[in-house]
Amino acid sequence: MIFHLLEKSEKISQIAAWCSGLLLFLASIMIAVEVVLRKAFAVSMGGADELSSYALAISCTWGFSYALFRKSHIRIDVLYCRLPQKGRAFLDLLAYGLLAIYLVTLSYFGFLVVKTSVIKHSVANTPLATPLWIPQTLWLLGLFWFAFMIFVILAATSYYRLRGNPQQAAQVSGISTLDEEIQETADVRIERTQQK
Amino acid sequence: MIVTVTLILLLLLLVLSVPVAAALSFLGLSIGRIFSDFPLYRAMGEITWSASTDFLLLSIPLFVMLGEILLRAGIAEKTYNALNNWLSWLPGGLLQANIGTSALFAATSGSSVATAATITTVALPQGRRFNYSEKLFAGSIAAGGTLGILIPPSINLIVYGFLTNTSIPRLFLAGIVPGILLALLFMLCLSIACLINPSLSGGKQDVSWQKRFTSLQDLIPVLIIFVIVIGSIYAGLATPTESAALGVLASLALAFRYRAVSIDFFKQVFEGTIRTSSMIMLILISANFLNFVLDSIGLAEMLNDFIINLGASPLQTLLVVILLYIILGFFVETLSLMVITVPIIAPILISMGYDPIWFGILLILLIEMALITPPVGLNLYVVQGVRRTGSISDVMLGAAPFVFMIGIMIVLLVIFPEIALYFTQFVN
Repeated sequence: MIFHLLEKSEKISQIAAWCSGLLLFLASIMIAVEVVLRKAFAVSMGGADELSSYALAISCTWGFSYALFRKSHIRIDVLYCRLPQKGRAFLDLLAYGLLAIYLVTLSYFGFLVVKTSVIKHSVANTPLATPLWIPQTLWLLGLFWFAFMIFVILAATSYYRLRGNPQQAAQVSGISTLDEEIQETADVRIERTQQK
Repeated sequence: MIVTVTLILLLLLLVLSVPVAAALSFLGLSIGRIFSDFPLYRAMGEITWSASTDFLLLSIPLFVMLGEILLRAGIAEKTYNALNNWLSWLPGGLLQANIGTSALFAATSGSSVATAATITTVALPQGRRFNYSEKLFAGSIAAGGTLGILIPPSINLIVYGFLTNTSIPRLFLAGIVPGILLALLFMLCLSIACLINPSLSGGKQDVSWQKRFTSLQDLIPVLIIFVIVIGSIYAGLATPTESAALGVLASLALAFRYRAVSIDFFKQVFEGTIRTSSMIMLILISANFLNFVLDSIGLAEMLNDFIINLGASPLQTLLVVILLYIILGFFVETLSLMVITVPIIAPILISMGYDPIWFGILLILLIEMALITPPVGLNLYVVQGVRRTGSISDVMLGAAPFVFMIGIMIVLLVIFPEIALYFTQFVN
């Protein structure tokens, strides 16, 4: 059960990462076109920078969970790597517990931001006059998803620990080793050079 | 009092391996709670929203994406071979190509792990084929990888600029000369070492001029991307974010030329970009909130009073700061180190009359040093992780001469601030 939940969550987070990347890519096309038009033809489409900053906000929050599954959110391991397994397990739970509290707090205040925009009918102070609740809601949903994912990982870790499977638990919430990180960031290159 | 509490709390959270982003926010929340009469925490939502829509910060994911595209398109290997053709006549042949490729490549890539790992995979087989001393070979890759955070576009400089409200174009401009100078120092150091002890170097490769000129077609495109990105900023044509967007498209054109583009290619580029940039953004969002709280309670003024009461001269303070970074750099991961210390230390030095741009460059040099000093020097472990044989202490020894060179550069920069600042006077 918990395994499927974990697997599904990771898949959805990965798809969210692809979409976020695509969003950033589209933003960069828009910005580049705007720069060229402005400098070469003295024409401005206007609004490219505004729209692309929304793209940044949305891709950020929706990317957080993917970075979480890839264990990219930095944790200092000075003490961690010197502890026995029990100690590490405790630190893992503490780390994810505090991260969860942080994200619940942030999501709550993020929610207040959206609520205020809806009540006050806030629009961006720009020519586009974008109703702010639209990008803000997408941004907030990303935060919610990230918070939810932290709870999923907490649940999976506790589940595996209670079932007496500490290795599995460590795989879900431990700090990534450097080997894992090298594989993550440069695996393609390693494979390619080995083929030759 | 506040300073002590802040430091103890921060150290405690970090040592307990709480994610850095969460640690910074908790610090912000608790300090705001204890030391301010205003409910500062209520601003958390608004502050986070405004940081995550900061147009300047958009340059970070875009520069990361630029690097990812070049990385996944296999451009490192081509650049390495081309540079080797051009540098093989120097004493130390391939070693010089290690520095050159790392500098050129790391300059465009957002992740020092990815860069160092890639260069190691590409270069090491060649080094072994030509019988180079593996210590120095590995050390030179680790050291070369650090150059990227100084030579623009540098994500670390963007982070510094964001935290201290300093102009990014000026920071980029200030980084160029020290960056190139440091690369030359590295190359000089390698040349001298190989002239004194030829066994460090490997077999000589004879490269014809024809081969050199043919290899230019692999070198020039990368240089063009660099010129587009940096040139468009300095010519006043584009902001850093806009130049990053231009760079993304230019590098994609290059990837098309090498026929590397496919659906899978995009998936990998996007995954890599989001992995790195989301991590950076979460930390920056938290650091931004902490900054807001520290500003509101007036920490900078308190620290200033404290330092003035100590009666320390600016130079003494600077030396203490440098020492502090060298020590912290042994133990703390570099991005976290910057984000944690800059909001506290930069204002002190700036109020003592030091130039914020100059301090930014000095800080980056100190961070570069941290990347190749044991026990936590990340680049050392990456190189070791890829080579898989021998011991990590070989890489540490091999990198030691470069640590010394960075030290020389730091001294030069302190004595002659113009190295960084001379060109910045031409932009406003």
